[in-house]
Amino acid sequence: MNAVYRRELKANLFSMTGTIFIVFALVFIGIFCADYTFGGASAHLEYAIYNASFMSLLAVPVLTMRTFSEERQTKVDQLLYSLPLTTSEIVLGKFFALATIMAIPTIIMCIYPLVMASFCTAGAINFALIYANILCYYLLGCTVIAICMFLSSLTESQVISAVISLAAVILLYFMSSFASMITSSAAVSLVAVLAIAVAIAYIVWVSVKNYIIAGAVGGVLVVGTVVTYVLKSSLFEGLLGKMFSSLAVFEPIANFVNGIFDLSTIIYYISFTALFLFFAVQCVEKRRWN
Amino acid sequence: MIEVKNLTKNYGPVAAVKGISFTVEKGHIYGFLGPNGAGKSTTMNMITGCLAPTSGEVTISGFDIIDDAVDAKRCIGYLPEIPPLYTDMTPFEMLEFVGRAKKIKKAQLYDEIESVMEKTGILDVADRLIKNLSKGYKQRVGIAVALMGNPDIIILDEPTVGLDPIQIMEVRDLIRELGEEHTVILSSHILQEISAVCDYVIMISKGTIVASDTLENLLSQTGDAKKLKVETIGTEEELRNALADISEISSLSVTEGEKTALVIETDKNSDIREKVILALTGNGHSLLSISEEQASLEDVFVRLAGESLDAGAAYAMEKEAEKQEKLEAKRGKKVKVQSSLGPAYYDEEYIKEEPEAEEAEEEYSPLFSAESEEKEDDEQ
Repeated sequence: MNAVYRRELKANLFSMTGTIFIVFALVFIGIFCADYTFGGASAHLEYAIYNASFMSLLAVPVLTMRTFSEERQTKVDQLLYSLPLTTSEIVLGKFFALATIMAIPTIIMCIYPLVMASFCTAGAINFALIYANILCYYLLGCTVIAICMFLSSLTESQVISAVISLAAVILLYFMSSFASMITSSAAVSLVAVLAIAVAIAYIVWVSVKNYIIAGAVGGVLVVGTVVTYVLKSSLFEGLLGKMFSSLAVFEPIANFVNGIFDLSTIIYYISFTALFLFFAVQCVEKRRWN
Repeated sequence: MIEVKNLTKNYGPVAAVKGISFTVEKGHIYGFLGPNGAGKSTTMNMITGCLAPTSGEVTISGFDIIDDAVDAKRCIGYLPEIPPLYTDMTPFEMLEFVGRAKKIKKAQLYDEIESVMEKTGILDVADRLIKNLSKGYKQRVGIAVALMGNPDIIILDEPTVGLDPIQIMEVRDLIRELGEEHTVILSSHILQEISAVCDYVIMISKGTIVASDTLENLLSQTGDAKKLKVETIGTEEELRNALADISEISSLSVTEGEKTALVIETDKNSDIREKVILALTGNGHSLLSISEEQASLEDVFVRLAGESLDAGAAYAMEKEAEKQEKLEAKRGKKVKVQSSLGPAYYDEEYIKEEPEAEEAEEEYSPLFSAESEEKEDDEQ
């Protein structure tokens, strides 16, 4: 993992992609911070960070677009496959390299409250609140990186990788608005859950090519869902909306802005990151089996 | 060392490799021979764990390539068809990366890089970006990558494709050198290359193994005939009469023209060159040329592959072998091809087809790259 980490870190730091990402993130954080503090005469940097989070992370697709796509195109992936490395080591090495790049604008951000302090009366700045927000922003960044890395592992083309990643980041940002638009009667939720059950059965069929196993998995899920619905339909009330809003990764950071150090948000980001890294590993692994 | 059992790979409905099995013993250079699309690269990718087989298993030094992947891969150095190099790195950085990935201890890492670079002759370009290197150097860096960590088995997939004849010679010498310490598996569609460096040959055609034996054994399987090609002057009748007394001749074909070409077939063990020369000159026919042809690997291949190998592919291989030979002769390199490997023999049908085939040749011939032609011009 160390070898891959070092290689990726160097490749990103000394190429345009890493620089573009860092500059883009810093420019937007800078604009928002300046606007809130100097423009709005407020010491609440946490609001600036919350509002800048989406714009500053729009450049993540630039950072992640080459992660797997480039190697696949230049056939360097054959080298990685033939080296004594596990796929998890390769994916984690790449992820930690990008997480390190993400840390650069974050660390620079940490200076802002200190600069602010010299302009404010003592106690006007809530350092704990601001640094907690910066931590949350960093975790959000890592989550977005993991999602975009997974999307990069799906394709051979860097352009396609960048475009679908950008679309995904925008979609995730607006996910909470979508969630509120959805009718969430129990029946609609039931249909949605059944559709997911069928989709899972299809994925199982695609991966094992066995009708019996896929049918059994699908059957258990469908029957389980229907039985649950019949016994306690109140569980399905508003479920679809909840499912969508749980995908809105840009939302939980709001808890931090309101002054709550919410452990569940941190766990949410870490588990979301782990899930998409797991998907990326599976996707890279799968390529060897095709 | 390597045990391959019933290895199969299907790409959708297409079977690229159909249940092949073979064993590779320590300390030999193995040649993996077959025309383009025979399944060589697919097999090599499966042996090295780059590609998972549809069925069958590969064991390397006792480790299964899927279940004990990390241990198995530690025993292998692999150079795929296209050298997999990070072009934004220098050869030194590249080897450093591979060394770390192969978990070479820090104390030995830099000594190892130095010795590998020396062996492959890339010390001069150690600090240039790989993207700026020539094809030949990239290939060497690829071989250097395979050598890092001193693996027992080195697998090279078409290592000489795209190189100029001098570079080809150098790479072959390097492979021979490697064969002294490591087990080397080398794939190629160039018969001559295999016969020049390998001592054991596995022939593959359309995803199945058609022969697997030592080079000598394969060459001894080519049947009993030996051919003598003669260029002389005279009519068919005169020439047939002149040669009538030589009892060893089993068949004689004559092509009349400005110069008359004779193809004389005899028993494998008899040498009738002297008799033919005396008979022809004794009857007043001037002798323009005479050459003896023995069975070559391509004959073996064509015979063994039989119907499974289409004539086009066989012809392509023959042509390529001959072209390579010509070019090497032109370079004046003192590399004698084994005497048993004469130039390919064409019968008339092939010769007629030649102009058409000429265009197609460019595609598969690695020798007529722009690079080598430029060099030729320079020399003139």
